[in-house]
Amino acid sequence: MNLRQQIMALIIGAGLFLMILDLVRRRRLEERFSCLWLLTGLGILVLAVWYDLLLSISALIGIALPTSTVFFFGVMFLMAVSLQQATKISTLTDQVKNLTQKIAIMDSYIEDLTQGRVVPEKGSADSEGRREKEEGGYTDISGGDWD
Amino acid sequence: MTGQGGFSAVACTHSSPGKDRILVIIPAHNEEGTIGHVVAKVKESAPTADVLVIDDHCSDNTTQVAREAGARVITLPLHLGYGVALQTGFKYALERGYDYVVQMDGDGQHEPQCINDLLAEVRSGAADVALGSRFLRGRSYKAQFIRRLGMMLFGFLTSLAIQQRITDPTSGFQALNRQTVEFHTSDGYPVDFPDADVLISLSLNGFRIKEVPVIMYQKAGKSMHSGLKPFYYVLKMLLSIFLTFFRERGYKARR
Repeated sequence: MNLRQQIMALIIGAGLFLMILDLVRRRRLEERFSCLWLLTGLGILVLAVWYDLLLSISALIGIALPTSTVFFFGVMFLMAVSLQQATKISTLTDQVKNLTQKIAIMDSYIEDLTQGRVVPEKGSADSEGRREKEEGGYTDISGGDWD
Repeated sequence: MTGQGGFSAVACTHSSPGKDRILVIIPAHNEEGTIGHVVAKVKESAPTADVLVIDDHCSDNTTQVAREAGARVITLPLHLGYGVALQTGFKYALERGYDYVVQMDGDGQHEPQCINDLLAEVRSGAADVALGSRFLRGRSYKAQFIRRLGMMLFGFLTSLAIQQRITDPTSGFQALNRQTVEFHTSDGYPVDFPDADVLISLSLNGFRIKEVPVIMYQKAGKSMHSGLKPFYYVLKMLLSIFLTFFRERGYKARR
């Protein structure tokens, strides 16, 4: 590796590292997401300084060209990141769904209350809750058990 | 169950048949043209049932039309699709203590008079889910060849998976008892096109499914399966069916 390449790698590695630290500092990035990225920045820095390490890693896993090793780990890293984000998005989608449904159902309770309608107790499939409803008595919905 | 307040202690309490509380759930997205008629016909066919229209963030007058026809309307603050709207109805039914739920479409595709046939099966306790079939007993239904092929494929797979003949696994016209509704409100409910995979999951979890012949009309407008969606649908459904076998079972037995 010539000096130009080394300087280039150092700049990119250091830049990435600092950028991530700054994002975490400004609370734009959660700590738990930053770890993977910080490790990557660190990896680039280490490999830029210590070229022999890259050569021995390549030899170890049987890759002839050290550049291929870098690309290989680069691709692996990107796959790991996007998989992590896809699972996170799935969780978030589910949470948004549940919240949206809750809001819609709570809206119906507000509608009931403002229009003076009878509000059935939460989960009132038992006969007691039903009798109260039939007698037209109001039921305190705030007393539901939220376990 | 997690975080769904208060119903964990409720098993399946039945009162006298005449006093059952019934909810008809109609998820709707921009269906002002048909929803009024559907709601009116439902109220006529099943006068004791409450009708709930779930407005999946419509941009037209669906809400007003449905209200004028006498339905309760709840509005989702975001457009999240048919499955989410339907599940919202299930959650509403569970919280409000309904004993039986009928789900149907708001586009006029399902004949409201058949509600009673579906309800009869679940109210008698013969089944936990009554599935309205457009093909059973030679009821006619015209559909595109490709669509028919898909229905046949999933009908075959579902029948094979649950060891019971299912002619119309994609039917969104069903009656469910309270326990099934409770099962559908869990986080595992597939809100992306819930049909064949839900039936298989129900069966594996010990619920009894029974098909009932119903009348369905051809959809006037555009089907929800258009563009690239059919391909996604088939892939999603195959994967979902496959994975259902590796998920937890015996839900009903544990209750």
